[in-house]
Amino acid sequence: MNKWYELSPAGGDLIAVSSRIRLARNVAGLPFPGRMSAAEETELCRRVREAVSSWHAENFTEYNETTPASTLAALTESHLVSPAFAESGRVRAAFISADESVSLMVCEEDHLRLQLLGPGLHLDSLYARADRLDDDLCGRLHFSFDEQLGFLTRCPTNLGCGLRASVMLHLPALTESGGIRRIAERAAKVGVTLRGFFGEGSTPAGAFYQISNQSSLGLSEAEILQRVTEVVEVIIREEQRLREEYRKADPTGMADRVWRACGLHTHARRMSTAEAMGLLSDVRLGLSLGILTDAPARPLFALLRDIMPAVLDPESKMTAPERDAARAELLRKALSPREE
Amino acid sequence: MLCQNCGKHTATYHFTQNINGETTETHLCAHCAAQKAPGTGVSDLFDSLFFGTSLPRRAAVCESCGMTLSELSRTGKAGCAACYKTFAAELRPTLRRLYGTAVHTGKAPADASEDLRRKRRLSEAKRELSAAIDAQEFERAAALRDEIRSLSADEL
Repeated sequence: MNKWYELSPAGGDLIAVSSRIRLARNVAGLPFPGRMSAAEETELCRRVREAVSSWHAENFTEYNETTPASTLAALTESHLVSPAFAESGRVRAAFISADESVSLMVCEEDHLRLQLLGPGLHLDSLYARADRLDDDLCGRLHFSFDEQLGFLTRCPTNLGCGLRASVMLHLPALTESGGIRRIAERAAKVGVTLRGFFGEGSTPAGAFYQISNQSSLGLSEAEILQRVTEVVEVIIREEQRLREEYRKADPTGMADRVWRACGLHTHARRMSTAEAMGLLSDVRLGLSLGILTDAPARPLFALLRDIMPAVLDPESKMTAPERDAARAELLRKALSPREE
Repeated sequence: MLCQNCGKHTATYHFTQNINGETTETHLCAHCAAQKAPGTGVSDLFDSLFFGTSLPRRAAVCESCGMTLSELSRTGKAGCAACYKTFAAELRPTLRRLYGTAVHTGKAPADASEDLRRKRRLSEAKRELSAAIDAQEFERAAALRDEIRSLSADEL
């Protein structure tokens, strides 16, 4: 079965990379994670397992405390479980659909964290899907809810809808111009946050950013989705305008940057994750500006995932230089059609 | 990037220290960051955000989960749903800082009372109505007005 990121269109909109919907829910009558006994954690995992076993379309795989740390690291790099989930030494479970578009974490910060991922900017359709799954879970598990505060969550910052809607954007021109800071300030004023590639606290890598709502109390789901979408559309227009500006000011410079990235990708024999992300960012820019016309067969976003250390080396068998060599080889094969 | 301390987990905390012009960078996972650099974690940040520097005034305990007020103020996280009632007075300034006077207007679970769902839909329909009027979508506005009328009638 194809993964959701393998279906992402190679052409088309290359600024909005992916959309993500996350819902935080807690089961009524149980203490929140952190204050649960091991028996309660095991029982909750069992109840959720039973609930999701009826979602046949998703075809879930379960990962839990018996899953090797290296596998959990790869899932973290693929944005399917959170770093906090992978690091907790407690009883927990994550159910991940075969196409990796749905992930349900049990006993993370909240009892349930339901996440849906999809290519491009499509928050509404992703939310509609999340809403249906949420309704089904709610019918089986009965969630903690307060008329004033909404869905009750462990951290007061997630109260209300328990919803985080985020869109990953590729913003090389705004990063280079420094305009990203001004955008972040303006977005914050309407309750929208800019974060790095791996979410909270991470630094942006390869000019990839996550744009999401700050809080979800006081606004309805539809209003949150609309607000994030509006901010994202403004940022996309600004990025497009700047890209054109850069290209007009120095067309050779722009082409040089893109072709250099291609050159390194097709010839380098060792490459670090950070360098590969930066270069893939330039290739993506080249494709969106029409400097490059032959898109690689595998979508760039899938490649971005492929080059992550734990994804590349799921059994943690390689040394760092060996991994860098494997990464360079993978990119050579993906980006130069002439080589075997 | 892996944690420089344990080398096992992904580093999610990045510290930059500048002493006499010499800059050093440290990359740690959440676990090692909490041990190595107390006072720099996210929860510590929330402490000051939520409770200022003042210490909790009363020694209350949540009967449902055993959470104490001092632990709540230290972690900034509730122990169970009942904590929001037990510590309502202490949490009020925090919630006001985060949300102002806002109350939840989004989805209510299907098992919430019929009355609550009706109230929610009513306030949602009122907002949609004013948006429809602003956008001069009069047919939609008329439909919404009918819905509001029937929802308000149910209230009686």
